[in-house]
Amino acid sequence: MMHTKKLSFPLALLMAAALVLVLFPVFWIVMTAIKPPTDWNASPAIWAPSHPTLINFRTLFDPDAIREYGVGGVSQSATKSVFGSIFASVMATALSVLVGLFSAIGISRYGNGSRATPLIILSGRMFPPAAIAVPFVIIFSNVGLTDSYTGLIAIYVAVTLPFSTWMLKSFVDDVPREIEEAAMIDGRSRLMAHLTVTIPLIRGGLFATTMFIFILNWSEFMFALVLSYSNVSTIPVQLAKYVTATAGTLYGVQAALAVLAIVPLVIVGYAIQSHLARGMTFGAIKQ
Amino acid sequence: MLDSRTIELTETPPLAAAPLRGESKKGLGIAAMAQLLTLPGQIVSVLVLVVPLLVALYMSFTDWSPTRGSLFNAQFVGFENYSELLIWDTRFLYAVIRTVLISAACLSLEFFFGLGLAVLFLREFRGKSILFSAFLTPMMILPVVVGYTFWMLFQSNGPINQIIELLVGPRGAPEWFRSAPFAIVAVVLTEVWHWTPLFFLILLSGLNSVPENPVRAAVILGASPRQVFWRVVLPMLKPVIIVAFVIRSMEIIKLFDEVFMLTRGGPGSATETISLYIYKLAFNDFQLAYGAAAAFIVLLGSLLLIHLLLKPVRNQLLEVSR
Amino acid sequence: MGSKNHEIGNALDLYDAGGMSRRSFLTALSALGVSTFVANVVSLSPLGAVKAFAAINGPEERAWELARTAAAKATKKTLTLLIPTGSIGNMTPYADKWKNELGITLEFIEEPDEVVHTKGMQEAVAKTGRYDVMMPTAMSYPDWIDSGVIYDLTEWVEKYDPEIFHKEWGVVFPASHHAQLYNGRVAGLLNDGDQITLLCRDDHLKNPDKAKAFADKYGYPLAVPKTWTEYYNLAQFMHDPGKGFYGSLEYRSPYYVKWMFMQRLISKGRLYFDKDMNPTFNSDEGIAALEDMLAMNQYLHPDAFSFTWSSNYNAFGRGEGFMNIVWPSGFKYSKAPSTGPATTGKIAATVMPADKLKDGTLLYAGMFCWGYGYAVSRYSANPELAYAYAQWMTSPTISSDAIPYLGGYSDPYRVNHMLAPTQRLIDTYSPEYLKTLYDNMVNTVPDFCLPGGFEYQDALDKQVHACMTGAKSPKDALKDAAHAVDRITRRIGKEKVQQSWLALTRNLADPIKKASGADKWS
Repeated sequence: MMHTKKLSFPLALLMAAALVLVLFPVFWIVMTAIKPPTDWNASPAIWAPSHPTLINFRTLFDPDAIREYGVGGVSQSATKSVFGSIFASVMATALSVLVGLFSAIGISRYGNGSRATPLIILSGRMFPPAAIAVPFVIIFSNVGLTDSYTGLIAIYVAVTLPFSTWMLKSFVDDVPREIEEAAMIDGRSRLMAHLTVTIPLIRGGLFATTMFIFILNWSEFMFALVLSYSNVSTIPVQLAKYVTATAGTLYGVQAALAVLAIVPLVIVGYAIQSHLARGMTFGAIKQ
Repeated sequence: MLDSRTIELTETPPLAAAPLRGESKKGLGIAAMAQLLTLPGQIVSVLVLVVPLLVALYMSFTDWSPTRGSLFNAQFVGFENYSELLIWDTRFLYAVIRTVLISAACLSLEFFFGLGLAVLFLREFRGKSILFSAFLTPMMILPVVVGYTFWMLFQSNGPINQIIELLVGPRGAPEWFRSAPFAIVAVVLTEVWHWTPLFFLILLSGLNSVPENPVRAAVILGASPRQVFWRVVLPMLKPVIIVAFVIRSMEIIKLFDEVFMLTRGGPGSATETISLYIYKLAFNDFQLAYGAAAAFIVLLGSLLLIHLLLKPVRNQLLEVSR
Repeated sequence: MGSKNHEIGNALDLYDAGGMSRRSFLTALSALGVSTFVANVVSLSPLGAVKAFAAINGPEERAWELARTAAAKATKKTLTLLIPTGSIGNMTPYADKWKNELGITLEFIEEPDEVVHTKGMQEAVAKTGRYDVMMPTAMSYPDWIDSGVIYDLTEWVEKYDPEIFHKEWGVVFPASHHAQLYNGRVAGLLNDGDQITLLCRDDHLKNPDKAKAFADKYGYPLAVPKTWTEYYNLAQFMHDPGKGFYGSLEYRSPYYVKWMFMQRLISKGRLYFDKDMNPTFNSDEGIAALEDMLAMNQYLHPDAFSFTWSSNYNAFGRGEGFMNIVWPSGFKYSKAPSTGPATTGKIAATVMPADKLKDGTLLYAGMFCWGYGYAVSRYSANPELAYAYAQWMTSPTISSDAIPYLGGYSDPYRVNHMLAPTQRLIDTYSPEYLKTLYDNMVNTVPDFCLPGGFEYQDALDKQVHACMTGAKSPKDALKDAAHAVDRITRRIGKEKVQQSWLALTRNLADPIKKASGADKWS
């Protein structure tokens, strides 16, 4: 009965205002990314550049490109960090979803295994990353994993495992057991039943989970910051470097990197938005 | 009660204990299957979570820092780090209190705005699905980018101050990063912008699955729409609301990325959250053992908090899932 | 140098024997490819030309020889350097020479300046061997030495003699000690003389209307400030926000603001600790220093609370302020037309203002803030090559060449840079500025170059910043800072820090030691 009421004019106005508030920061960062250097430090700040340009995006990959505007060159190119983010996020996501999938099936169909497992996995999400980062550094240095993507990927898998496991579990729960039982009666072994029947049935959920975990990995900052040396770099780390580097406030270039970072996420987010609630709440809430 | 398909927070799921009728004899049995499937997850957790946690735990009972030689020869000091943190380290205690207060403020505002938006979305209007997507956008943006964007927005010559000056007159706009209260407000506003969509999403799901019958009954019995909402609908949303709060609490305690980009914990230490303080201990001072102890105190506190938050609904949830 | 040595040797001998006028000697040497300043120094040295020439070229030659042998033995043909962003311009000009003559590729890993210390300490834990040369500030040396991530350079220094304590071309005392040593042992070779000085807009000082108005108002002639009171008066007088011209561009931003406090504190004759490691910055002088800073807040640039060194330089270069407290690179930037469009040719520099002591005398002191230097990583595959690089780059001859490059912020630090400068140094700075720099550097006081130095500076910085933003009174801020500092001392170990502190304060200018009582400590 609540669903049939229409939106009154004052409420529509309210929603419009809310929409503006929600989208304004995104608008701002996109505008900044296309501002030429002359507009960067304007006081008061300029809302939309009169001569938008793509030079900031070019500078990310060719640091000297900005010199044609008379600004000192940016010290580093962002190419490595872009590749780093793509590589680490994709690999970590694939592994996390794979491991989570098996755990999900196991927990959904066969029980927990150990009561401690959920606690341990949840602790991984609650422990302040800054303090666990150094034990990682120590352990990695003893096994030769410092400054390598392998170490970073391992950490990413571990901290996203709670999400992938529980999110996939809730999708597996949605598949009635009878279908698997039918396959097993048909003569297939348990393992085959899961592989050939269960998994295809949760295709949509699997996709949503993968994209969701990808968002988490792509956004991760602290561990990458701590573990990045010269070989390892991700986009958030590079953004922080651009911002803290004292060679001037390169608003445009920073914003260009920020925009580059959020584009994949926004696309992915929209693609899976019907499953976002499930993802964010460890599978507790379905839409 | 809420439809059991809407919310589950199961710990012990239904179990296919007995072998199935006609189950093929070839292949693995049940116990082995359970082991095989959950093994990779357990291996990853143990190797990448448990081992470092144990190293950190060990470290927290020593006085180790790299200036004192190797970790394995470190001197054992018992609970000294812990007592120092809880009794003498006012900066740590302030960071904890600050984080709790900021979290409470953020969560309350996120709930308030999220609920408001969700209620609006119960109505019918054109372009609903596009608007729905639009309102979810903030949640999808990387925390560092959110922090950086709002850092720009809150600059003294930035758009927020320009708007304020339009309303209040020149020189009326605050210098956000120069005064403690304004810096804290900036942090809260940033967080609220970032995560209100999550509350909106969860509450909308909850509202959409409120069963019709109790609501219809209340209307028939003469309740006003307001009474229906506050005394019938909202109580039924309790489990959903609690899940939302629990999920966000777990993450907001670790608040780091946005504050790092916005204020670095300043001015002074006015916006120094727990994570920022532990980061300083670990990566500026390299007081690693001390930082590890601080982290464990935070972990224990968080676990306790989550346990307390879940208590009122634990029974309800278990009953629902049966 | 080799093939011309014979002819240079002849010229030196001839000059020493009195068979050449100084002018012909200089011309002859110049024709033989010897730089003007070397020729200058050599011609005037009491050691005699032959000895002086050997001595002044010594550090460079010996380093190069070591580099040559180390490079030949090296399996890894790259030398990796961890450097702060913005400093690379002083080092890239020599990459080709190292590549072509030694076969060594220089690889630079840049990190934001506040991250260099962190990366070093992480390397102490991770021990990757990624870095060969590391470039920290002097404040890192105690922790880096204690954690074993860099070598104690003393033996190499004794063997290859970079002449860092030489009277004519060594590093200026006392920076030679507090910016390179930890407990008396060499931890790094200074490559950046971060002595702050005060710059004023000369065009305003020379303005006759302003001069009259100032003299009428304050009762003494308009000129560069000699004391902090005069500094305040000038800021007040010149402050013109309507025209976007501010009294001073002094820092109020986190990390930088503590230096403004420490500078005023030492001018008043107070150091940070006494001989027993009790904090003394929370004394009356400290409170007065904070009150002076609060009084200055109204005459500062609006961005003072967010300035970094580069935004500060840019603002001054655009002509937005009358005075600025800068490192020598700041002078370099405001003199060059490209980076100082509004200030080029219009700068008057002076030593940091003095303050009146209780007995009425003026005390001149200057903060040495930062001070980067080359250290050798203990996990380097080529430690000798790394040391050779450090000694070579900081040798009296090469450093005179490296400092003037605009793409880096290396500042003069050897006596010859300031008192016998090359033409390029003169063009980049100016003889007057270099002399001013020298006068300031002999009165320099170090930062918290102690074990746990970064913790100490953070504790003080947070409280000073809180005071400047109005959150705390000066008394409370310093009380809280002292409390935090005491805890740090207790946790690190009082004896350990005390030893280092006493070593630091042993080497200060005499008036400063006397005013603070440090002359009686050891």
